[in-house]
Amino acid sequence: MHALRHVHRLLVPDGTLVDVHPVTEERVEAEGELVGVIAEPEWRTVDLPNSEAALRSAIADRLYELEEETEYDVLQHFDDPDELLDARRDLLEAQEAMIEAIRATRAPLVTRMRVVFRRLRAVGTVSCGGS
Amino acid sequence: MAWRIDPEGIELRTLRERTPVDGLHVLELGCGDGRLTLQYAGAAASVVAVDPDEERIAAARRSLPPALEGRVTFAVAGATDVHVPTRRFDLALFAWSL
Repeated sequence: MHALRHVHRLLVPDGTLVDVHPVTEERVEAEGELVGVIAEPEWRTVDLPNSEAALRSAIADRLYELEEETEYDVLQHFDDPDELLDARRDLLEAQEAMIEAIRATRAPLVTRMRVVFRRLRAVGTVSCGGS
Repeated sequence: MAWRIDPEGIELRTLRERTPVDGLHVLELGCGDGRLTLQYAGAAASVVAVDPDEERIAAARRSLPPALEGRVTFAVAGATDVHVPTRRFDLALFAWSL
């Protein structure tokens, strides 16, 4: 069972669901200039579309009604390029050009991700035997 | 620490403005190390915050200030592992975890 359906059973009638998640890969910036993008192809082509599809499905099935949606940027600040390289070690494993670009920059570094905020209202009920 | 996540407070401000948690019973899914949890929990009636990562939950528990003990519960669990006998949460928050 998808998490959205399970959580619907835990909410009081007319309860609220808030979903916050990134909708872009992480841009790395230094002194206001773009250094590059930390590529996450599997997240971009599989995980993100699956999450969006699950949400659309839950709305189509009348489990939730979308009440509000907005987007904003979340920044992460790194005083030292090595901090960023360490924090994103797994993602950067096969991105040599990006690693070099980060190493070549002067601190401080900022990463930027576009994030969507959605507030939904739980509606209807789900039978305990559903899936 | 040289790594700061959202020091501008955009996430917390958006949550406060769009969905005040005052007096609510909150379930947070994918709470990680509790970074966001600890910022809003003071206004909530109760918070159950879960994450499947044991190390992150351990870090969250270490960060829990005494003032929030009894109000915030951190647990190692995925979203579908949470079971309660009755519908009890006013707000479910998927924080970068859906």
